[in-house]
Amino acid sequence: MKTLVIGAGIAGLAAAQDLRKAKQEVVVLEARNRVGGRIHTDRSFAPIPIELGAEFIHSSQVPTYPLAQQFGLRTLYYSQQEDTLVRLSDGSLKSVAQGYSHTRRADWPPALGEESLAHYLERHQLWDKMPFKLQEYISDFDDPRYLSAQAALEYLLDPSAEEGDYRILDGYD
Amino acid sequence: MVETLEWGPWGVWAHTADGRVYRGEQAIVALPLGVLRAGQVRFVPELPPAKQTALEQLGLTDALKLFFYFEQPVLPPGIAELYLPGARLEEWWSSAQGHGLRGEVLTALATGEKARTLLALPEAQALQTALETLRQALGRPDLTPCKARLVHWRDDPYTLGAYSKASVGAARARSLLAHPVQGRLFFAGEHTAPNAWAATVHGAYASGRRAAQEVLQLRGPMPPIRQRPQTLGPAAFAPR
Ligand SMILES: Cc1cc2nc3c(=O)[nH]c(=O)nc-3n(C[C@H](O)[C@H](O)[C@H](O)COP(=O)(O)OP(=O)(O)OC[C@H]3O[C@@H](n4cnc5c(N)ncnc54)[C@H](O)[C@@H]3O)c2cc1C
Ligand SMILES: Cc1cc2nc3c(=O)[nH]c(=O)nc-3n(C[C@H](O)[C@H](O)[C@H](O)COP(=O)(O)OP(=O)(O)OC[C@H]3O[C@@H](n4cnc5c(N)ncnc54)[C@H](O)[C@@H]3O)c2cc1C
Repeated sequence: MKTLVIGAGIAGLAAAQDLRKAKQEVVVLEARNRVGGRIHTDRSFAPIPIELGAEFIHSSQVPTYPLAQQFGLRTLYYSQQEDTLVRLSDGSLKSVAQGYSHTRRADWPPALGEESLAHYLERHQLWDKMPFKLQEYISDFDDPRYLSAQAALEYLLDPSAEEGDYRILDGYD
Repeated sequence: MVETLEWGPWGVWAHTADGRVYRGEQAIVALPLGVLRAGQVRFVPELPPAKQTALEQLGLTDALKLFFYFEQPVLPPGIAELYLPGARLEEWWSSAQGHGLRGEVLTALATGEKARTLLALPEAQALQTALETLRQALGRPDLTPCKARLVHWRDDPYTLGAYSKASVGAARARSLLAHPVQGRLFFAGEHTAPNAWAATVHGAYASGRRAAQEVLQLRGPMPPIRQRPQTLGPAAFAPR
């Protein structure tokens, strides 16, 4: 049985690896002369590697974390609490630990159908009760007027949103 | 580069730009959302309408990363990230910590409208704008990097957009995009991950493993392969 895998980013490579483990024939077709896709480490800019694409492993709750451990990769933890400064409306800088509620609200009410995240936050008057991870979600994607509230809640209630991030010191690739 | 995926009950043929044809009993399509949306790879026959609608509904985030290399420390001791709500560059972090570097390498991320505004500027001006934001936030007008660089994935022909975003109306689009089609086309990639894990490396990784399992489950004992119709010869897809 032969499977074509189109694209050698992390998704295609993970698929090919599992098929090979199951003794299947696999051909991976990739357009670039490198694998990894949106994982792309650069070692020419500075004395240390920088990441042009993906940079962090988002919590120890996701499968790439044990993978990094298994390969003995050195990681550095960014707690996004004491080690992260936020600028408040008066211009002062405070740590996330001081400025944001850490514990996520267990009682986030469900979203109504396909409402926007902005609408949802407005409806429940949750604008100033946002945990830092939701603030970060917004910064990572777009204005909350354009984002699905339902999808944002699915992220917020996942264990991966409860921790900080890990950075692979010697490069994601 | 794959240009055309021809598929049917007989399997999948991948036609590449250099005129080669790769044949499989099935394919796992692990292409970026941007590439699929732009029709960079042609499906023959076309993907079912439900997939095409989901491709349109799911948004694509424009993201821009800016890198600054300073020869001296920049952030206060013990600080690794800086978040500036409402600023032109909101997210900043150190990419040098843990390396024992005397100086600092800061990375800034902009998305959405902010990314597009910066991308409309000449690169040097975008970098200068970002630097001003940092100087102001830290109250250090003297901060000057010895090197700066800007990177984005919007125009990269093999990505065409940084990562998927769940726009209003698209809460179910990712799960629709993950569904296999007629036991021949399987789908992986960050945009096929559950909403909680999409747009990440772990989401993409898990989606690839999921697609491999789908193939293995469906193809346990091989179904008989039907004859491929003669009318669709590879000549129809000869390289241009
Ligand atoms: C069935 C098959 C199809 C291939 N198709 C292409 C192609 O379309 N385009 C291309 O540029 N190169 C393709 N290659 C790869 C090419 O033939 C060489 O293997 C490649 O240049 C790497 O050579 P290497 O000596 O470094 O590794 P090798 O010793 O050739 O490979 C190491 C292991 O990886 C496997 N492998 C390597 N490349 C692939 C691949 N693309 N897909 C699945 N398994 C692979 C090999 O079977 C082997 O088990 C294919 C290889 C195989 C086995
Ligand atoms: C700026 C930025 C920052 C990010 N930061 C993080 C982070 O900190 N943490 C995190 O977890 N995630 C992060 N991500 C997201 C993460 O990088 C992606 O979700 C993940 O790498 C996607 O993997 P993939 O395999 O789905 O797609 P890709 O890695 O894009 O792989 C798709 C592959 O298909 C190939 N391809 C395209 N067209 C063709 C064609 N016609 N024929 C053959 N091959 C083709 C491409 O070259 C590529 O190799 C970031 C992304 C960006 C852009």
